Amino acid sequence: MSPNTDGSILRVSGLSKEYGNRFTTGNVRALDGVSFELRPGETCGLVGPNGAGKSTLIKLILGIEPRNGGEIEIDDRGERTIIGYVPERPTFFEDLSAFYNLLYIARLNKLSDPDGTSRKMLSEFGLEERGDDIVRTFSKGMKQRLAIARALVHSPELLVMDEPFSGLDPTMVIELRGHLKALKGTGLTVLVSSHELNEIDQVCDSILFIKSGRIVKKEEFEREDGKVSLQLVINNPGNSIMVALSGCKIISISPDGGTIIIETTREEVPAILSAVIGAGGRVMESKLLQRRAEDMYADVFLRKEAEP
Amino acid sequence: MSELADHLRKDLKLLSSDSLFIISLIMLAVIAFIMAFEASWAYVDSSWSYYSVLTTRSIIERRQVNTLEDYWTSLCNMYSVLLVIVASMLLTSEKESGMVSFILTLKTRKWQFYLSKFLMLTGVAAFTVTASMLAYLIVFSSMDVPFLGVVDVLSSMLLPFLVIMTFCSIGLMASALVKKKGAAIALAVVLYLVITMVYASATSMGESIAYDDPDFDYSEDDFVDFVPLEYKILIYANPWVLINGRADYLGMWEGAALGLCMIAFFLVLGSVLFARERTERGLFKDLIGRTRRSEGGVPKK
Repeated sequence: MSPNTDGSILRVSGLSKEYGNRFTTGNVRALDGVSFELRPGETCGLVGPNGAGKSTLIKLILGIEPRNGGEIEIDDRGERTIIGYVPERPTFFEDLSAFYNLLYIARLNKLSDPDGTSRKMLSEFGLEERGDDIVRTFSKGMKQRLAIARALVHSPELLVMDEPFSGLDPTMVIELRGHLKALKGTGLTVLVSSHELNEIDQVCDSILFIKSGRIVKKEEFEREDGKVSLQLVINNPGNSIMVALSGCKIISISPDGGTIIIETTREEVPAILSAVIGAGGRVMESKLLQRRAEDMYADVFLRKEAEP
Repeated sequence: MSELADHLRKDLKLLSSDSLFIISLIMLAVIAFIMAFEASWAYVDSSWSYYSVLTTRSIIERRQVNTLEDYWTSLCNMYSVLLVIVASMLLTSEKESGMVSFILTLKTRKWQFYLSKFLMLTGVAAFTVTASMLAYLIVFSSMDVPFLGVVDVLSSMLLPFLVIMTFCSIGLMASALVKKKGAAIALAVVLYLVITMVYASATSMGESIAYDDPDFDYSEDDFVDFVPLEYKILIYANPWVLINGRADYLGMWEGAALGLCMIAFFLVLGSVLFARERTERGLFKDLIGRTRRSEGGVPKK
């Protein structure tokens, strides 16, 4: 599958959805003019309060529910679907084996070697030993892994996950995070709806904020100009260090000069560290300050709500 | 058609892994044997002088045919209500679990998904009817009576099978219409009762009107010609006419044609209802959009 002509893998424009009965309760607008697009390889978080329209948006993208207006453009001309879907509560044919659950989906997608691919996916997600057991006997974590394996069995271009972290214990969360990070390296585009902002921080490149059926903002973790904030904690601050940093844009400096935040690019970080160390500075800590999903969420929802 | 085969394989696997279904099949076989014994008792105990004072081989055979028809009539009532319930659960159990929604996110053809359920029901109904026929033959083989010919045996199975299949199509249609298993069962049972009551009322009232007609002559006229049109519609549009009306209202081949039409009607109706499950803009807008897209255009979902 090739991306749309504009380079995006999914383009949604003016999407709207209403629920209800106009003759009795009146219509409730679940989505109102939602527009956004996803680049190939992008991992995007879909974040918003309960009832904001996240699940509805996902259902419309998947075509599970009819929309009232707008367009969803996906270059989906092949025999197999290019979307893989992990539902919030994954369901299976519980009385059939894990292998058969994958095999059925692989066959429906007309894969050339459905048996081999299904076995391979079971192995990739650590389920090969339980592959022939019925799904009813699986733990929640195993079912979650099987759900991701099933969503990926046909090598989709876009993976849509609805609240994948919901209800998982810490071990499962770490495991799932690992899988998602591994998927990022494959060039797969991922849209993941979640309330877990810490997980969004760790796996996503961007966040779509949705509120009352509207996309309020799309934020990127990386700034468009490629600039990052570098925080240095120096044990022996002094003039020589400030001279070494004279070519950099200093955003803030603590009163004792020990903590300095510099605006720079990722490529320049090694050179800056070399300059500081070369000037005799003992660097105790250096880290890139990324904007956190929680701060973005607060910016978008809480601060706006606090405004008069 | 490989997609249909995939759905069918999955459905058969699911069905064979369901212990309740296996128990139900055994129960059906037991019921068939009980009813066959009941039929054999009725056959022996019946008043032979009704046919003729002299019992000939042809009378024995005619009596056997009548006994077999009665056997099927009593079994059909039971099987129809049981299978209409089974059919009503087929789609709703997968709808309730969310599997239908999940599968429809793939590029599957909905009608093939639906047809696979129907074909599976056809298999179950065929098994049920064949097992019942075998039970009958086993029971009657222990009696010293001449066996009916293969044609008689096979033709006796045709109309009961079509009645059962019509009710299976109705049950499956109910399953396509609603999302909850309980609601689908309730709807299917209500439909079964309504259809049964309508047939009983329509035949009873229509025939009374026919017999009361001053132009009706018992010795020369067929009463069916005097049944008012509105009653005839209710009778001929009812699956029970296939088995209960075969003596008066239609012959076997007419019944078979009518039964196939009824099955096709409910199958198509159910398939259309199921098509609403995954529509991007609603059923009709989707169909129009698909027609336009096939004429060439931007690939849009």
